[in-house]
Amino acid sequence: MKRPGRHRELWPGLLGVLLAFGVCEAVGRAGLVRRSYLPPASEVLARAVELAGDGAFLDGVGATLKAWALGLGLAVAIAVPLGLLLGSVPVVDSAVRMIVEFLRPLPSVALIPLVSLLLGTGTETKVALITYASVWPVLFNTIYGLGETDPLAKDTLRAFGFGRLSVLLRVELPGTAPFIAAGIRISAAIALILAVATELLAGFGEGLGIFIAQAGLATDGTRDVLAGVVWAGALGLVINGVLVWGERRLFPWTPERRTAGRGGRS
Amino acid sequence: MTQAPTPATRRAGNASRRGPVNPAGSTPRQVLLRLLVLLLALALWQAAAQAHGSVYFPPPGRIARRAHELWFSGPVRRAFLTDAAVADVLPSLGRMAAGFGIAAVAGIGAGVAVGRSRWAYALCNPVLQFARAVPPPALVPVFVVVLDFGAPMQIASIAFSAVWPVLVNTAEGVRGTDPLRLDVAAVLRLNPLERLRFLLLPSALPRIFAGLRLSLSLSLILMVFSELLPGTANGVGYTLTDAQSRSDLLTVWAVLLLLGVLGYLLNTALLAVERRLIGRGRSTA
Amino acid sequence: MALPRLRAGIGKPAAVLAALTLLLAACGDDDGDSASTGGGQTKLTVAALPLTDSAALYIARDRGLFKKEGLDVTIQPVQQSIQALPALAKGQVDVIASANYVTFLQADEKGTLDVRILAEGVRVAPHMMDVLVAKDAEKSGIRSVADLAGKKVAVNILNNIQSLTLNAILDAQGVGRPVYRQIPFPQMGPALERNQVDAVHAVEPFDSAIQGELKAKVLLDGGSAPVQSLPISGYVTTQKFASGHAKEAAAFRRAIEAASKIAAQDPNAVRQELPKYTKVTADQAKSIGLPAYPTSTDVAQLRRLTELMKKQGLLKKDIDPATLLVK
Repeated sequence: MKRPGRHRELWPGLLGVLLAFGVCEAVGRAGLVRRSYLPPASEVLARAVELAGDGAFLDGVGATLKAWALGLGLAVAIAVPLGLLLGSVPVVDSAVRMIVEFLRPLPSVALIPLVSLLLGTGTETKVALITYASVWPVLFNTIYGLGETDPLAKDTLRAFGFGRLSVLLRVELPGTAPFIAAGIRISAAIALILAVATELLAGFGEGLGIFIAQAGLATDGTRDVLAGVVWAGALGLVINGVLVWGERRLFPWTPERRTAGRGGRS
Repeated sequence: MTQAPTPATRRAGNASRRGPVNPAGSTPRQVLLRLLVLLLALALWQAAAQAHGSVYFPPPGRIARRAHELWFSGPVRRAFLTDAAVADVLPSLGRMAAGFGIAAVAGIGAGVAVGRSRWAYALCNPVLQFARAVPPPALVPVFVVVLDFGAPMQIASIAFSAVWPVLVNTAEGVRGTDPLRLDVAAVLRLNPLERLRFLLLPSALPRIFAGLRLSLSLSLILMVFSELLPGTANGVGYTLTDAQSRSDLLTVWAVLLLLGVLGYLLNTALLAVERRLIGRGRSTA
Repeated sequence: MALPRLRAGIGKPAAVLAALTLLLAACGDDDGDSASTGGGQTKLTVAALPLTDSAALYIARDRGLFKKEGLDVTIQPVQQSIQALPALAKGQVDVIASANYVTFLQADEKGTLDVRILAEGVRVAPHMMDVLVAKDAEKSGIRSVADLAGKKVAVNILNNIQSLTLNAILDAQGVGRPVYRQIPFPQMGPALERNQVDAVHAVEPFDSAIQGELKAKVLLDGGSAPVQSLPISGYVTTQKFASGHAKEAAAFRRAIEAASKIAAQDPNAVRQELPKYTKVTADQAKSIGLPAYPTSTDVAQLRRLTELMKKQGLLKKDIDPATLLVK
């Protein structure tokens, strides 16, 4: 039942990508802008493919992905327990709400100099900033998901004498899991953008963002910059695809819940 | 069998269990509690910063004073705003509002179009996922070549990155419309515009607002990013980067404070609008 | 509910306290020290920009001048010297080459870093940076330097060395100040072409590249009086490193001064070195204007810089560069 559905989605997707590429190529070749300032899409794509064979570049991508994974993992490790706590104890939730709403809008880019003065310029700073930005979607989705759990199941267990913590772990956590997964998917995208953007702006070390920043220093570097951007976008696409696939496998029973979670509070 | 219990009714059912706590949270006791916690946190911060005495971590008192000096020590007739506030904060907010507005309109419009048709969604999804993964600062060379320096480039960069949460959430919301209702609409022979207005949008509204709230907080962040673009002459983010390059950490903290306050106020405002449009039934505070 | 009331109010303050403790622990941490001695050679980490400013550093490395002084130097590329400031403060790097004096003097004044200048790096030389205008600039009314008043000029970083020197030149000629816009060097070409700015203050190799691509004209030499031979960037370290590793610091300075001597006497050495660590091609390297590489540190020149900074409001207090030099 699922497989024809998935194949049905693959071909239009591919078509969409080709169409978008065609538009970019047409615009690039129309001669509206100087070639060295904005190369056509085919050149950029060729360079991106060429980079796949560059060992140093791949090392950099690996460093970025490592920071991404660490940041995302840390964010989940913080956000899920915190979300469970806040979702279960409304008093704490409303008490903390103001602080949370103050902290959330702080752009990580603004925090780069302060955090790097604390933690030095290296993976720690990157991971700290990624974690900071990625915590929120998971946190809010966890809280939201907790509110959506079926009270009947909770009451049943409570009636059988299970304690609060048991109810949490046996009913609410599994019920919240699809929402948490959706939150992780949103956070994964944010974490990747932040990993590359932080590297770009902090300018130190190795990574995809560093490659883009260094390429930007050359007099004709736009091609490399855009090739790096293509890589960033492709990584985001792959990560999203993997996570969606994972969600479908783990939670096949909640297609509607999933979409509710994706649009969930944040 | 009636519809499954909505979160509203479930919440209502839980209310007795959880005590008279309003999840939207505005009883006097809750407000007092929040303020107390906030004050406690601030007091701790002040004590810690003064004890440590590092130039990197000025105490909140000094930060607040700097913020006051920068932006709020102006004449009364201008609501206490200084020249700097008028010259920096207002244009920044204006550009952010413009970028967010464009993102909202474009996102909802495109989201409805994409969500209506499974095929259109499948067509656009990979491109969307690709585009939203692009980090804004990396696109500077493209923007420089295509757009004019200053407001057009900044607004465009904000809109470009802020559109995705709205778009994706709107599409999801539209896709999730109850098929029963679609059948009812067919029976009533509603034309597409009526269907949109009375059926698709209202049922997708909670998710649209979730996307809008994400997008709004993103717009604030993007506002700072956009003022890193070449040719920026003023703005909150501009003040931030200028202070950074001059090692003026106190001003950096003051800007962070301002951003936190602005984010909080904007989010609260959007929540209020959401509550107006959707009603208390689906409180998503 | 079985949950005791006590937990309710403690949750968040406890978390805040924990976070603050973590933060304080982190900054109470002893700054790491990357210099280490092993096998007779001291390891040093130097952050360097991929610009002509760092040529002496790379010459010193490639010609074995560091090895001769018993130093094993690792060079870490960085895009802007201020990005390496946190690393210097934490001891992850020992020295920053091509460190922008304006930035670091301001950091010293504000107390974010206790700066010491190990050696001079480069000074302004003719045509190492120029104010360029579009080839049809007469049509938009910029015929001479006097027309720059009130016009939009692009610089790489605002309120830094470029605006400092340009203001000084214009003041000396009695011309009003322009309006500055911050545009990174690679984007100056597109900006000029699209008339987003009236003039760009570009440094090599972008200077020559823009002239080549857009046939831009040189309106003003960025190295004109009164800023000729003004120090621009140099080798900067912290007071902690300078006092803790005095021998290594002296050895580093000797190696750099020897390399600067080579650079000053034989520009081709620099031109050959450039393509190896910058994005400058061999062809471009042959013809770009190089800065001046001073062979010793001259306090008087540095004082010119600090006085100029104070005059234009980039420094609030008087700083005597002599106090910042490593003896």
